[in-house]
Amino acid sequence: MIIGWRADHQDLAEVAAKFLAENSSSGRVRAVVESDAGVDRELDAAMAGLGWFGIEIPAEFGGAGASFAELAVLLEVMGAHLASSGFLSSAVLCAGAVLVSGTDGQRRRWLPGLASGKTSGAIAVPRSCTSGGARVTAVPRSGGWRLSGTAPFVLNAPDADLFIVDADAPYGRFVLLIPAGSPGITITRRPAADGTRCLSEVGFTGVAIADDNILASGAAASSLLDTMVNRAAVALAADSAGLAARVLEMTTSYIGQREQFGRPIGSFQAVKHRAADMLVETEAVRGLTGHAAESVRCDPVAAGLAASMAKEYACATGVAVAGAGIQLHGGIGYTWEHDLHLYLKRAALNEALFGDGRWHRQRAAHALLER
Amino acid sequence: MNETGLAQLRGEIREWCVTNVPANWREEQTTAGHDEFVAFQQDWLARLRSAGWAVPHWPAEWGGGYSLAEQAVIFEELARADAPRLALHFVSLHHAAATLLHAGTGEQRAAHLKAILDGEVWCQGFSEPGAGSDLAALSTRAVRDGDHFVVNGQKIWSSLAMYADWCLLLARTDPRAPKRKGISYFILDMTSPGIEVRPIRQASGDEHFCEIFLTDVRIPEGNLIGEENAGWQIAQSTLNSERGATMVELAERLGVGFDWLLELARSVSADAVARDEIARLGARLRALKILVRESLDENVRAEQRGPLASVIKLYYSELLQRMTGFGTTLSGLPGQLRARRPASSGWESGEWLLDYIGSWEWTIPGGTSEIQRTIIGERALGLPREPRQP
Repeated sequence: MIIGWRADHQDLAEVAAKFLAENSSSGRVRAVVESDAGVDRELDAAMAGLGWFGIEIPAEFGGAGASFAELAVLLEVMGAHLASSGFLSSAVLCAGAVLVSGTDGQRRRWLPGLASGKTSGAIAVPRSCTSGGARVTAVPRSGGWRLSGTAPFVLNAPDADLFIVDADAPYGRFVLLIPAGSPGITITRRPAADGTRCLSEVGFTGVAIADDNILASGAAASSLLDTMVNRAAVALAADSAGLAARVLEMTTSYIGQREQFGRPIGSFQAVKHRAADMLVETEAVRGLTGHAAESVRCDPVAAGLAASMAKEYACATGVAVAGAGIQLHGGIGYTWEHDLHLYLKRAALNEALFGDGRWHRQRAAHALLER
Repeated sequence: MNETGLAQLRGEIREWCVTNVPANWREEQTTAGHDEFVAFQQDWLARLRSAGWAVPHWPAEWGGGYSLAEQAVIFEELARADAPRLALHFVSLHHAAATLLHAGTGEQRAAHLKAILDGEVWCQGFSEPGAGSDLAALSTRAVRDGDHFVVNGQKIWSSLAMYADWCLLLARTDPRAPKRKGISYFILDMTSPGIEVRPIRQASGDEHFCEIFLTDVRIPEGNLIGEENAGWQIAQSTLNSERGATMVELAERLGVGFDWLLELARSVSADAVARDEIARLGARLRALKILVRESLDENVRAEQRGPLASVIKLYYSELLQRMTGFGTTLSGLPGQLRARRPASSGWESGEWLLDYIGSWEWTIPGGTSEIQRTIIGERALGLPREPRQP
């Protein structure tokens, strides 16, 4: 990469890269993929030991008190190493939602466990994201509510201690925080082509909901859902930027060595120029994503546009760069033994999760044209 | 300067622009002839200079001394106020000044830097009919004759050379040396006998590129920049070093062009397909601005500054082309009617078809997009070079 890390992120990024090179090696990732687990529990335990799960959570709840910008650094490095982790669901989205909207009681109850990694959170793709969004309804029942419906795509469900899901309510929407043991919850694993992430369908059948399960309702719920989508968008953008950078490294190394017609194929302009385009796009989306992370951290007004732009561009670039990487590797790049297909599949899932490219472009266009 | 200082500077420029950016300059410059264009440009330079904002990128002793962050603010505000561009002085304020500051003698700087602020116009004499992308193959000869050099040859694609007082000239002084080691860099007085300038009409219909024919033109040896035969290295390093400030301005101008594109999209009630492209363009414009900012920052290793300049030039020019092409599409059939672009405007004047045609003035000169990709591949990624012919 031409442009390095921000000076205050340099150490974090280097430590993370060193740790993941060991703890999320190709062999480890492949073992997870073959197991269909969708998550590397050993990796998560090790990450929890380093305090990563609490990086954004304030010290009073047992976290490190850093910010979303530092989360984004970790996510970029995790993308580069195909980390198969509950981090996105638990640390970025569930902890983020409790942090942003939780009552004092909810924060005290959930954040310390989420920070230490002892508690694991599952997040449902919200209904507003159209593709794969939750279809869940809350109806009033004896002083509380009963929840029924299906969330067809939930991250990290089998290991979860809590679920965060949005639901239609008699007046507006709810964002709900539901303990995993609640009666009426069924989890069905849905192994994805990308074996580095854990997707499930979660059914809710008459699950009892009380006030302390409500994270936000009405206008506050819409606002929280927006925030969650922004956080997910930037997280996935960072992951895709990281995996693009890694694929570019692999490809540069390969085409510099592989010889055909008596010379390294990287000396041919047709190949060299394609690699140059991979670099240009990767640098562009790394910067855009870092900027969007800053917006999410401190500029709620600008965050929606910044996050949607980063999501659509970085995730599309992840797919394009991974695809170009396979193409430039030729036949060997298309084999199961080579890691490139793992990158392409993860990039493709990143593109589709929490609002696909088209959805985020329409969201960005709305912010640009009708603001 | 801290955030408060920058905000204060921003406020000052904004206020200054309100009273100093000439009203209706677009209308007037759309019908302007050559003389009106030159007079307008000289007047605008004088105004900017008296306010202290003509050359923020120069060292303080010559009238600049603004930090990169301050330069960015100045160029941003000028772009946002839709101020005219200093098109006539682009080479003098950027390339000529950077070259003299980097490699000029004290005498050369004294002779020209203040004069440039007074409105001296410069052009570049680099490309030749036989030396475009392969610039180092140039064959214009400069032969020493006592304390002079005698120059013969032909230059091409020299922007606005018909108005130029001076020319930054590359010529071969040692034909036996390897091609990059036999080139010298000269300051050429455009009033010298033996110079003929012929404008070339371009695809856009404008005439601002020129051919320069040089027949037995005499240049005093005091007008040699740097050492004899070291011209190639000087030209390369100044081209890289001056790109930073110009790209801040160009990226900000493109941002203003994007605002017009948004207006156009609203006026034609853009459909979902068009809105999709608008979002893509918006994301890429923002990415460009961030790349430009990052290139001015210190988290770029010194040896990567050159390749990064190539990344930004490539990215800017292709985004300009894509954006103006999309503006043309959105303009529909009415956008196909003949129009004129205002002189003194940026590369995005709002006449989308002409701007689109004009965008090739960015993807070809200054190293084509293909040359930039080769530079990026070899110098940023370290890929092996194409085998060279002996």
